[in-house]
Amino acid sequence: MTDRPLPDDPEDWPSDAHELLGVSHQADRNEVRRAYTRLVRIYKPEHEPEAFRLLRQAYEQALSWSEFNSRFATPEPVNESPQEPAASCSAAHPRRSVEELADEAWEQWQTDPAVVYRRLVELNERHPPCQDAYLRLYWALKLRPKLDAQTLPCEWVTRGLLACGASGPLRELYRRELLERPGEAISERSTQLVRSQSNPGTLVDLLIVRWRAAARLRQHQVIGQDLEALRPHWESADGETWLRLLLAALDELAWRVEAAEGSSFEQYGNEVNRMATLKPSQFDVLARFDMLRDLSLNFRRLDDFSNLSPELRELIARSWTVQPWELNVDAMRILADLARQPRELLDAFDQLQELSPGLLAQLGLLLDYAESSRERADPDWPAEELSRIVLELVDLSSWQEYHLFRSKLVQFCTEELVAPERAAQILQQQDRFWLNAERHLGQAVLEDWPLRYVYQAHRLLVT
Amino acid sequence: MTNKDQQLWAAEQLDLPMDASAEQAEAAFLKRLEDCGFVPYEPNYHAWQILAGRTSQPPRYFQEDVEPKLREEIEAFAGMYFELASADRRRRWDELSKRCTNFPALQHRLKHLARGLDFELSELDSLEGAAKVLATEVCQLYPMPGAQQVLRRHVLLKEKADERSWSDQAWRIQNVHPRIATMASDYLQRLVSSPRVQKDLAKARKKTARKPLREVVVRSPESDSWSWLPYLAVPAIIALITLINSTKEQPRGRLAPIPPYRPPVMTPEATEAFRRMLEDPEGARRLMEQQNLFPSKSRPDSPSDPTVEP
Repeated sequence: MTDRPLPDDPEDWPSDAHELLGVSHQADRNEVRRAYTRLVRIYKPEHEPEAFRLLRQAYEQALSWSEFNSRFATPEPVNESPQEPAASCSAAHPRRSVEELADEAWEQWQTDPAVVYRRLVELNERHPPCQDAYLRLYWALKLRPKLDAQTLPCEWVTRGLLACGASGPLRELYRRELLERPGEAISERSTQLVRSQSNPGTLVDLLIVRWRAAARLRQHQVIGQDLEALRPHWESADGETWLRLLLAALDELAWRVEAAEGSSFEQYGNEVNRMATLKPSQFDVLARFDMLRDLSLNFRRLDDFSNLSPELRELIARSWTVQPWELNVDAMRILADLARQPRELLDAFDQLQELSPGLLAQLGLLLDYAESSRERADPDWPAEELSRIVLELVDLSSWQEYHLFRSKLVQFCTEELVAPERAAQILQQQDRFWLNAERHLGQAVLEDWPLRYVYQAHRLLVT
Repeated sequence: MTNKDQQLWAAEQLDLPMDASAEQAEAAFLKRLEDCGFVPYEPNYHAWQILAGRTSQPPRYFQEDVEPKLREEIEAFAGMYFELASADRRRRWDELSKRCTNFPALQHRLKHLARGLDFELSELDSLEGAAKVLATEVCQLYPMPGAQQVLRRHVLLKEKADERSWSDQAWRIQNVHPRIATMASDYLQRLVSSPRVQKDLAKARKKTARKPLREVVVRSPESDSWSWLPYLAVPAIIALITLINSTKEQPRGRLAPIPPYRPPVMTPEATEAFRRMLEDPEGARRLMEQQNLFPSKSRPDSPSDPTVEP
């Protein structure tokens, strides 16, 4: 089996199944499966469906070829001394033999899961740590929790990560476990796992997952405890990693509503400031931190504004660390619900804009994503007609007072399903709508982000 | 959403029939699990959890997949809205409402469609002439999806813009047939207010047209680039004239006149302080200097000053 990388574009991949998988044409079933498994972990179906499809096709071809081979292969010489397969393989290639044994054990799953689980546990105890065994043990308990009522499936993942290093498929399963059951993040197991890491990359990745889960449970103290436990080793030994840890911690602590002067956010923030100021190369870090501090400060001041619903605040907080596609369903639900009252939502967004345009922009990102993930069904207005109705609206309004005009405009946009930016384009073609010597009405509409976001939220409702 | 929707979605993910058993679901999931190197495609995992009865929480994948399908169902329902008898319509609406509890956008659409649930098209037979035409249009507009409805409403309003009688008819429907009016209140309201809006519009445009062109144009950036000129030119001319006049009256080298002497204003308190200070000669001298009673010799405007030309 070769480990050569495949070209980035699946169209450039070899058409030969064995070549694609990186195995010889004589490869047996297990070899083919291992090669396929290795590649599938790189080209995940949810991220690269086309690559996955090609791999799957190649795997099936290679598998049927190996079955054909095994049926017509020359029998092995009989005079070879019979040996315990595990022992012989483990002597020559210890890791490979355990993988094979784990594979063999798993094949019996449909027949007797209890036996499979027992064999996998034994295998795990007698042989060097093997990721494949831990993976199967985890899924065995996921599928049949009663096989071992004393053990949680996640325990096998944690043990695997401790024994084999926190990388590969086990880490991905750990991330999913914490998403599904954030309570695991505050367990002793999790503490032991993160504090025993020596690889900076995996340490930071694991802590990000753990802290995010802890923050969801509002157990922010876990973050401070971890940092203080890790400080003696990392602060002096690896300043760069320590800075990354502090920044990851701040990403969660910034949105803690209870945060106040002298809080852990301020404390660790000052530390980041000191560290980053000393190094000119950390200018970006400093700029990002300054932005986060500003957002955090203003986020805590949101309590003074009654127009913002708690759900909206929660959404803003989560949008800093969670990817838009992960939040999309919640974002669409919350924003579409609020868009039923466009004027009230405009008031809320205005307050947000006045307090911190950055916080509003976070919601804007979610709205942009939500819009891109949906089919848009805007009315196909004839250009002339659209111009006519937009100009009628302006002529009938006291547009010179923009703050009064925009409440009419938001009603117009939501009723006629006309995007404010489209109305702005029409207005900009007219030379008679100058609000003052420097500002044109069209420009004012174009720069009115609260209004544009209200319209985007409204469109989630009606299309 | 109902469990049925979730079951259907989950079965689709694992290529299983809708009534697949938990064992079948596990077998299908297991196959995919092995194929993916024991890190399964997340929707497959959630599908198995649903079919195995392990979770009641719908995953985000389910919501993302199912919303467009539910919307299609709602639009299909809207498409045959008045073809259904009101009892069937309500039954279908109830069913859809239960399935859309977690989708505000779909709830919004259904809420709109709730207004006409008890209305039968046969009720239009009691109307005649223009009122019937308007009521029929209301029934056409009402179940249309948002974008389509906006455009159709616009076309209808444009057709009727020039005839005032439509406004009266719309007003009549609003007041005499509120059940019809509620289905497209926006359309009827616009028809009612159309003459007034046209009048206001004409007035507003006439007002704008009466404004002198300069007033409008002077605000544009191009015209603003020279707007400072009068502000600068007028004071400049005045200053120039003043300069010329002053040069004529005042011959070069003449000194400015010495200001006349003004004794200090002596209040009773100041007089008392003055008297006390006179007892001290040094103090008296300081005071006199302060009060400027005797100008010092070095005053620049003094004729005795050697630096000043006689």
